Amino acid sequence: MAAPATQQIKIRCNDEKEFTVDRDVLERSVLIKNMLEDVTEQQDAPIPLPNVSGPVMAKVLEYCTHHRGEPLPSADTEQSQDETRKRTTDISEWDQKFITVDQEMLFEIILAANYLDIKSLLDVGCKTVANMIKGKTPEEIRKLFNIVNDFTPEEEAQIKKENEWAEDR
Amino acid sequence: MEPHPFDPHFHLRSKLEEEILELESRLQTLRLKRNALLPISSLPEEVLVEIFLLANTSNKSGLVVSGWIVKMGWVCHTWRKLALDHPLLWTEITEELCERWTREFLKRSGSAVIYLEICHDEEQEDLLATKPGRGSSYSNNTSSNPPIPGSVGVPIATKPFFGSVSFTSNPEVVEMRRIQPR
Repeated sequence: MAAPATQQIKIRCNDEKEFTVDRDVLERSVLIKNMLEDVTEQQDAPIPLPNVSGPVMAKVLEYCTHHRGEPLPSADTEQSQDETRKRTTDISEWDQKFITVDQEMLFEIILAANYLDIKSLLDVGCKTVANMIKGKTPEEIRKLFNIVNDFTPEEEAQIKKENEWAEDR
Repeated sequence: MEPHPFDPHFHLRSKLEEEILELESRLQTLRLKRNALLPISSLPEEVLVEIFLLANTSNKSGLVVSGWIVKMGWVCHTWRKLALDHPLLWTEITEELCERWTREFLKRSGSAVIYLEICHDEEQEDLLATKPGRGSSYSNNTSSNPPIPGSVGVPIATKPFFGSVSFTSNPEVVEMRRIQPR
């Protein structure tokens, strides 16, 4: 017996790029899942995603396709909040490879995951940035992200004082 | 300030110093604007806070070590504002904190839920007792726990603000659990 046909959903990005994707893949996004649940009749018009560009959506869909079928994170339960507090920055091998992109793309993926409400992808993005800055000095972090020192003289003076404080915990 | 009789360039120098200050202020404004246009600056505040918290997992329980938050505030103006002002970054009070840090955490955590690692440190306990409205309940049902510090004790029936309390029996953390809000 043939498996039931998967419903295909069309989405349109902010650069007019369109994708036709299996519903279960798209439903990794809580935003889209809720949108689809709100629509009772089948619609042919693509779902507009004004905050995501085509290239970024392609990456997001790559992630969602790989992780399709996995359980979505539960609501903010007591246990999951505790788990969140026991933070780790471990990333699975596949996710690690997937997220090995340039900084611009990395931040775009994080923004898209945040907008589309894909918690696991947002976690991967945040952990990646956290791993990039972990153990680095403020100067090294500036260099990493091309940030220039924009402190006021008053802030600079305050930072000098804090230097002593931070060592004393 | 009056010019010294043997300082003929006093006025000119003062004028130049004023100009330098103006230019420095202008430069700082330009640097701020430039940083705001960086890819990393596109991240929303709550995402950056999560990254800050994740970036420090160096201590044994994964809780935030005080100095780290402040060091994040040495990167740039925007990060500084976030690091110092965001209550969530100041909610995890560990046994390692000295008195002034505990005080700082209590102040900066605002009205956010706080997480405690309690140890037998009378100074820290006394400080926590000064904030009775913020800590109000914990459970203690394991015989291995040291006695609950009495100074923190406020009636268990009142609404808790602690997300969790862990009792430490140096050098190891005995237990960590979340308190059910009522």
